[in-house]
Formats: sequence, C-alpha cells, structure tokens
Amino acid sequence: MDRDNNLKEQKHPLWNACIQKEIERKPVAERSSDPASQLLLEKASREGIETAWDRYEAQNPQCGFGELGLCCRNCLMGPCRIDPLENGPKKGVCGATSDIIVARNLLRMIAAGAAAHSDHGRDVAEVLYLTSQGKIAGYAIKDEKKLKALATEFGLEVQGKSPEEIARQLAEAILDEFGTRKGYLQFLSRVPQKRRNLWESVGITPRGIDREIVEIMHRTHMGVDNDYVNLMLQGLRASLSDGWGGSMAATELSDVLFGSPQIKTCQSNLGVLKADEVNIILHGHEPLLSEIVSQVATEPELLALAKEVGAKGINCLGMCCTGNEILMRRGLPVAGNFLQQELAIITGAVEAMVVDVQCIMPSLTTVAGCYHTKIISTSAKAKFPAALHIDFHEKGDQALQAARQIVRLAVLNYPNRQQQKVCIPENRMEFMAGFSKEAIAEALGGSLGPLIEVIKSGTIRGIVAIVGCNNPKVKQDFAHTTLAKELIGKDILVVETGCAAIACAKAGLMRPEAAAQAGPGLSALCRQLGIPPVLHMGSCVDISRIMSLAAEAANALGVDISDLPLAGAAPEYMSEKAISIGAYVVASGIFVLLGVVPPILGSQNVTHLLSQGVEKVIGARFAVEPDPIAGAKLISEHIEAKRKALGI
Amino acid sequence: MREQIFSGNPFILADPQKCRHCHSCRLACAAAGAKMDLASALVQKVPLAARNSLVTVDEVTMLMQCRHCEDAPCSRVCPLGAIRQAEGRVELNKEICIGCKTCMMVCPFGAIELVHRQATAAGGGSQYGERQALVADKCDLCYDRLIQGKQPACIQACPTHSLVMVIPERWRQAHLEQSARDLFRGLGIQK
Repeated sequence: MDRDNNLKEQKHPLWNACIQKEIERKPVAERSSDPASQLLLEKASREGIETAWDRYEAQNPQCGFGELGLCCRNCLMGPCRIDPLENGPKKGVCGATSDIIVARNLLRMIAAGAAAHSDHGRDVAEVLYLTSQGKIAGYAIKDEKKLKALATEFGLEVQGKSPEEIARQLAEAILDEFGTRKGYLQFLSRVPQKRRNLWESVGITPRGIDREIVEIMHRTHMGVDNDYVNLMLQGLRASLSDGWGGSMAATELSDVLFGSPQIKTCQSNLGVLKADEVNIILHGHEPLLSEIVSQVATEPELLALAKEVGAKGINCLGMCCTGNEILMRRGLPVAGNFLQQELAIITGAVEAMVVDVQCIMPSLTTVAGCYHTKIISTSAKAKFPAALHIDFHEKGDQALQAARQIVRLAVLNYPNRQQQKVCIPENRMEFMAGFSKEAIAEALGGSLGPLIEVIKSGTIRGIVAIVGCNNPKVKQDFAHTTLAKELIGKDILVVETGCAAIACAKAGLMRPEAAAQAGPGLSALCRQLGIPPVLHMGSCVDISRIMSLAAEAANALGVDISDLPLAGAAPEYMSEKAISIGAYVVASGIFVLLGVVPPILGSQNVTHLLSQGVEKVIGARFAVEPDPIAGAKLISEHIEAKRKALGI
Repeated sequence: MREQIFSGNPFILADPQKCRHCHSCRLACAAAGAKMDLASALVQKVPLAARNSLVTVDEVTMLMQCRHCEDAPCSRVCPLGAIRQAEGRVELNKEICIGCKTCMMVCPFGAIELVHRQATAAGGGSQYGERQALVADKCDLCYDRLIQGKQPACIQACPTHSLVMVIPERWRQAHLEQSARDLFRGLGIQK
C-alpha cells in the first residue's frame, strides 16, 4: 500500500505541485491593535515561530457545519450533520433536526463553561475549608468582615464564634451548594423577588450547581430532550447555577481568603517584563497558587539566590485571569491578555511561566522550546506533555514548598537567558484596578446610593459590562477598546473583567486621565471621584460582582434587573465559559451583545429564540454585531429605551 | 499567470483516497456561489446550492463537477446559447437560461444541476411570482477568485488536500518529465 502511494506520488507530481495550500496571511497591524503584540508578532515571524494567528489562518476556511452548529457526535449511529444547502439530508439518523442538534450542542458548551467556573469555585471553597482547620500553610482568613457577612447570608450563627469556626461552616455550606437538595441556591437571596418569581414560573431556578450541569449532559444524550425550547431553558438554568453559584462562590471566598480588592494603581502590558530581573509569569485562572508564589518570591533567601545568579530581583507578573486575581488584590503588574501568552515567551525574557487551569494554550511548550522559558504546570487537572509538572497540593505546607520550588527553578533558569534573543517591548501602561462592589461603594462614600442617583438624573446614562476573551477572528483588543471608547463617549459607565479589562488597561482607558475621552456627564463624575470611566472589576468569575451590583441596584429601586439601563458585551469572546456567562447575564435580565457569531445559525428557530423570542419570556436577549461602533449604537439605543420605560 | 492557467481549459480533479467526505468542498462552493460567507447567507436567507457533488459508488467517494470540455456538448445543445466557451472555461449564463434541462441530459459527467434562480450568483427574483424558476448551474472554476490569484473555493476548503486544479499543459509536462526520469533510470543511465 505504502509502495503504491509512493509510486502514485511520484507518478503524479502535480498532486503535490498544484496543492500548495494557499494561506492568507494578515499583516501584523491587522492581527492586533496592541503595538507590543505587533512588535512580537514581527519577531515571531522573523524567528519562524508559529502563533495562534498563524494556526487560525491555516485552519481557514473553518468547517462550515461546525460554524453553524450542525454537526452531531452524541451517538455512534452518527456522526451526523444537517446539510445547510438546498439538497442534502435535513435529519440525523435518529431523526434529530437542525433545531435539536444546534440546541444540544450549545447546551453542552454552556455545561462546559459552567463546569469550569464552578470547579474553580469548589477549589477555593476546599482551600477555605482546609485553612479553617489549620491543615494548610500559607493561607489565612484575610477578610473577616466579608466572612461574617457571607455566613449570615447562609443563615449561620456568627456571634461568639472564632473566624476559623465560621469559615469551616461557611466552606461546608458552600460545598453543599454543589449538590444541595433544598431546591435553590443560597446566593439567589440577592436576586430581586420579581426575577426569582419569573425564574420559578419559567422553571429555571437553579437547584444545585453540579445538578444542572449533569442534567444538561443527560438531556443532550441521544433520545432525551428533543424540544429546542425546553433544551434552551435548561441551558439558562445551568448558566444561572454558574453566575449565581459557582462563579459567585469563587469570587466571594477568594475575597475571604485573599482580601476584598481595594482601589489601587498597577502596570500592564509586556513592558512590565524586566531586563535585569527573573521574570515569572503566573498564567491561568485560580488565585490559589499565584497568591502563594507571589508571597514566596519576596522571601530573602530566594532574593539572595537571584542576586547570586546575577539578577537584580524577582519579578512576578500575571496573565489572563490569574493576572486579574493578583492585580486586584496585590497590585502585581499584568503582562497581557489571552492572545499574548505565546508572545510573552517570544520576548525571550521569561524564566518561567507557571500555569494552573483554563485558557492555557497547548502550544506554550512548543514556543517555550525555542527559548529558555520553563513551562511549569501545577494542577493535577491540567497537565502538558513537555512541561515540568510540580503538583500543587493544597495540604499541609506542600503549597508553600511547591511555590518555593517553582521560584527557585525560575531563578536558577535566569543564567540560561539568551541575551541576543531578548526583545522586551517598551509598551507599559499604568491603570487603576480593584473596583470590587465594596470598593466602589467606599469610593462613593459608603453606599451605592450616589451611583443610582447619577443614573437617575441622567448624568450617566447607564452601565455596560464589557467582558470576555481575545479571539484571532477579531483584531486583538480592537473591539474591546473601540466599544469602550464609544460607550464612555455616550456617558455610559463601563465596568470590565477578564481579558477585556486587560485590553482597556493596556489602552490607557483605566487611568483617571481617560475621563477626557468620556462624555460631559461621566467625565465630570470621574474627575470628581478621581476614578477612570472604565472600571476594572476583576477576573471572569468576578462577573458575579457585576451581577451582585445589578441586583443591589434593582432592589434599591424596587424594580427587576431587566428594568435597569444595563447591558453586557463580549466583543472578542472565544471560550465556552463566555457562552455560559452570556446565558446567565441574559437569564438575569440583561441585554447581551456578542462580537463573534455563536455556532447556532444552522437553526433558524434557535437563532430566533435567542435573538428575539427569549426577550418576551425573561426580558433580555442576545444580539450579534461584529462592528464595535455599530454595537455601541445598539447598546446605547437599548439603554435609552430602558430609561424611557423607567421614566428617568 | 492567466495565460499559463488557461492554456487549455483547466478542471478540478479529486483524489478519492484522500477524501474524508467532510463536505467542506460543497459548503465552500455554495458560499462562493452566493458571494458571501455561509453565516451571512443563512441570516439573509439566501438559498445555497453547491455546484459540485460528492458521489459515493462502490464504497469510494469522489467529488464530481464540470470538466470544462473543449468541445462541450452542453454548449452545443443550448437553444439560447447560454453556455459558451469563455477564456479558459465553459461559461453558463444563468440570466438567460430557461431551465430546459437539455444540457443536463447531454453532459457525460452529470455535472449540470438545477438550482433555484435565487440560489445562483446572478440573484434576482423570478418572473413567476412565488414559484421560483429552476435554472441550470455548474462549476465556474471560481473564475472571480482565479483572476484575483486565489484558488477555487473547494480546493482552498479541502482539509486533506484531496483536490487539485489540473492545468492540462502543466500536467502533461510533469508527466513527460517523470516518465523520462523513470525511463533513463530504468536503463541505468546516471548523470
């Protein structure tokens, strides 16, 4: 057979001659709007290093069935696909139509996203539990006030109890939420009663964090739920168990363990790498490891070791949501967002990239292979062949030991840095961060009242959350920053989390000076309070902060969340987590604008349901608009309509 | 470049051994025909039709489309002269096609199919009101893309590189060179 093939290849050189795959390469200016990224993309192409952009271009055109959500692999009678063309099969072997297949596929994405956030929440709860029992070194209860408030919210007695005892009971109560049998999640007590009644009447009150995810997997198994409306309702329910469950637990308990964020000034972009120090990038999502690593990096013995190898110090930096977690609480610089993870290594100046879970490209070890950078994986859930694995057990003093080992490895790697390959961009940008709900209230003089007043008076028209990832389908950061600029120009306050927040930080929109780019009302407010017009509220799970804020505002006004002049936007999203977020934000009553087309267009019914029909049921809907300027117009119209309906 | 390509009508040829039957070539063809991406076509409800067909016979799957014959039977029989030899290809003018199906019957490859007029690149409505007229359609070699220096859409879309555009003169030249090499090697001649 091989011989035949070889002969054929020889006989017909044209099979090879005519098929040079034609890959359309975009110039770097089209790939990213960030000058630091552009510089390093040039370096990557000079050095022949492949990045996500190259791989995206090599994938084009991407599978049409996948794009439209029309491929089903849920059973072995398949794989089946519905032909979107005029003359092709319109049903799978089992009889599944495009509606069923598209809905099931979307649901499984929601399940994966909700699972990722919620498992993160569970890890934090488990560390709180171990901390409360003194079974783990390196962690402490940093925010007793929040601990007590949460315990009270969970109906626990706090009088006369030690913080450890309260923490143990709270951790147990939150771990119970994953499999609770009480029929609802405790955090739903924050939701306005109107909305809770609505969820109850539609049947989408989340009944347990794990349960809703499991139920999605059950319903989307072959031959279970075949009604796309019924399926989509379960998708919304599972997403709510993320937004008002897993994500919220992750945020709140991280605050208890590591302190509620306070307003502070930090630095962003790849210019934060230091030419004469050991650079350690902490990348991924959970704060559990990064907090400890950044603690031990200040230990005198390790600093002395750094001096010994010729470095001036140890520079711990964040990336993606791990970056957001540690900048919100510790003010550590953030090196970049999702599409800059490979570029950071390409600077040639990173001694170690320490990763935990989520959004870590499998390509990192390949890129690192061209430099001295060590990729160190730390989670038993996320291993990378060719990476060094240092298991990060949250037990005893193992966390501390692992962190010390990681920092030591990075320091000892410093002499291996090849100076001729080093290129650190000069781009760095100062920004303000740490805008937790508590910090915002504090800046306003103790309560959210003044914020509600300025919205009522029309000084600011509304609040929009811009969240989500980077996606090589969109020019990096362009949609995030353009949308933010457009909105603040219309006197709309922008709050951000995740990679969107890092994009705007790098673009200078999170400096108080950016008030000059805002409309007159917002600009005056920012100057008065000394805050930027775009507020950094944390990592992706911290969208739960925004949800709590929205719920509190609705309660203060005695209305439903869907009555408020709010909107959400994910202009460059790529992950399943973002799909879950979009779903819980819409289910909570907030209009969501997407910048990337979700894989649902194969079903006209599902598309219509999510972009129109769902509004009649839960008071919010999705819209898709890849152009951020047109998107800002849509959002502004939505906000003005909500204001009119409220009579403000 | 154009001269080189059009030294004899090129055509697209599939290697069934490399084909994984993913139908990407058909989706790409339909999108190229509609002159927009699939998602936009679906949102705007533009009917989509591929001008190529994946045919499975005797457990072998092969992509079939117009061979752009030099003396094309379809072109000879069309009562309206809607099919003609154009630069390097056989061109079908859907604007004037009346849907008589004669070309479809005489095509030795079955490469001509009937599509709704709206689904054709020409667009436009039907003069018969609700009833949409059917017209003949076939592979146009993605002429628009070729003159921009791009490959035909199906070739670009194929993830297993199972499609090639056969340019007759180049194909023959490659054959000649390979056969000559085989011959002198067979004779033990070495340079």
